[in-house]
Amino acid sequence: MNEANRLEEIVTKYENTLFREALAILGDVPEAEDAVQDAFLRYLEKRPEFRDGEHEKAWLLKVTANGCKSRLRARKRHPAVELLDVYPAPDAGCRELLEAVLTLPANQRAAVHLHYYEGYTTDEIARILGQRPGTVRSHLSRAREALRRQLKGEFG
Amino acid sequence: MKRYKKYMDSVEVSPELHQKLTELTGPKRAVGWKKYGAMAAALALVVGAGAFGLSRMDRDDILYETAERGDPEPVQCAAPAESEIAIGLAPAGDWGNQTDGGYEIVSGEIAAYYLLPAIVYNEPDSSSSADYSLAPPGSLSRAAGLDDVKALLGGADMAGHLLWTEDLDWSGTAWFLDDGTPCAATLWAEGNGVSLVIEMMAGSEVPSCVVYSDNCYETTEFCGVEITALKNPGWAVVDGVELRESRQLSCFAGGIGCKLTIYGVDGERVENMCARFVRWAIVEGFDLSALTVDGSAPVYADPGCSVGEPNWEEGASSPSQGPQEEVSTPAYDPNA
Repeated sequence: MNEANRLEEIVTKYENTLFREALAILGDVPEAEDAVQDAFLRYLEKRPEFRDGEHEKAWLLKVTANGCKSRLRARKRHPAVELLDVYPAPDAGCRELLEAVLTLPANQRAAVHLHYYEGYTTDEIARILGQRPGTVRSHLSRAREALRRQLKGEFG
Repeated sequence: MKRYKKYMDSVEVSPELHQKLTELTGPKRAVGWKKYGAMAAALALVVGAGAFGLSRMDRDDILYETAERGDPEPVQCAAPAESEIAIGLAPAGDWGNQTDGGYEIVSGEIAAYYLLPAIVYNEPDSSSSADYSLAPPGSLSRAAGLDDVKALLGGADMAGHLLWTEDLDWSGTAWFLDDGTPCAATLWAEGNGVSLVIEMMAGSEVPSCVVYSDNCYETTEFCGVEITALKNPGWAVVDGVELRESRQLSCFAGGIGCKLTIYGVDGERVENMCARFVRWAIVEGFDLSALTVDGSAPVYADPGCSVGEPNWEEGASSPSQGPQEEVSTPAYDPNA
């Protein structure tokens, strides 16, 4: 398989996964698009060898999360094109939930997304985000508490 | 969180982004400018010939922009004037993985901006640990301190470049071959909320004291040099303060293996100090040859040790820093 085909395969397989993660962390569509692009560029640059598909996915998520972290550090303004403006919520309840999630600190948003959407354990999230498992558990615990307060106990 | 999951399932990249992603062709280096927010390949200063010492870099290899103090945006130069000297820079187009901001040093009206590497830190998954010694059999050693640190940096501004401020208390050991050639050094410093250990070896990488079960960790590349970086490999307690943000990084540049282990309370500050350390090690270089052998004495040589060859020991918790000194991290006591 040549490089172009390999790239297309991996892009098609993971573009939405990485985009969703970047959106969850950054909350800004153009920045998330750039973060995803940078992640695939990193893949082209490093050409890593993966043990299996899960390793491949975790590596890409980690690179994307690192890129998002750099962008958050450099960010000096409120997100220009907010997530919900481009991808509206289907109903009021969902919108309320997403707005509540978007008010969480980025670290908590990342942990919430990787746990509740991607289904990773705290240990796996710790490896992806480069944090200690205890830190990830703390992020999730605080996020759940904050969401309960904002949504008055209901966030299914 | 079913609604969250359902919502995210509906989010997909646009056809335009998909097209763009499938057409990516290779490394594109993003340069982060904390101060100017603009894309640039390098920064040069109009300083006047002789005002600053030249770095090791060949000026002809460097693209130029000029930035004067107070300018919000860098100004493009068509070609460097004779008086322009670039300092603290790497050859253009070879920044490695990516850069992440930098720092500025101002001298009079001139501001020099130094790009820093964006370092990927791995969380260690240790399965065993190993003792190692920096001292070859038959070597000489002496105590080392602040003067040696200054010598290693060639007299450069250590606070400005490395955030090694004056309140750091330095100690350590320097090793020499029996002909007086410096071969290794270990330096410790504590103060201002950090504790750091610097190890250097001539001609080889500084050994790792911990063996990891998973060897597939990422390295960072900066100016063609690979950096291995770990996050939170341990913690330290200094003056009763727990320093739980720790980083350890190592590289081999300019013929010298360098390793920094740093403990602090502020992860961002610790990582900034790490980035500055590797930038210095790679771009400027530590001058091990500047250490003087005066005052050194023969080291007790463990016939079982040799430079760079660890003695594997299951369950050991800290490296032996040469046969005469030991560094250990106090056991964490939550009730202290």
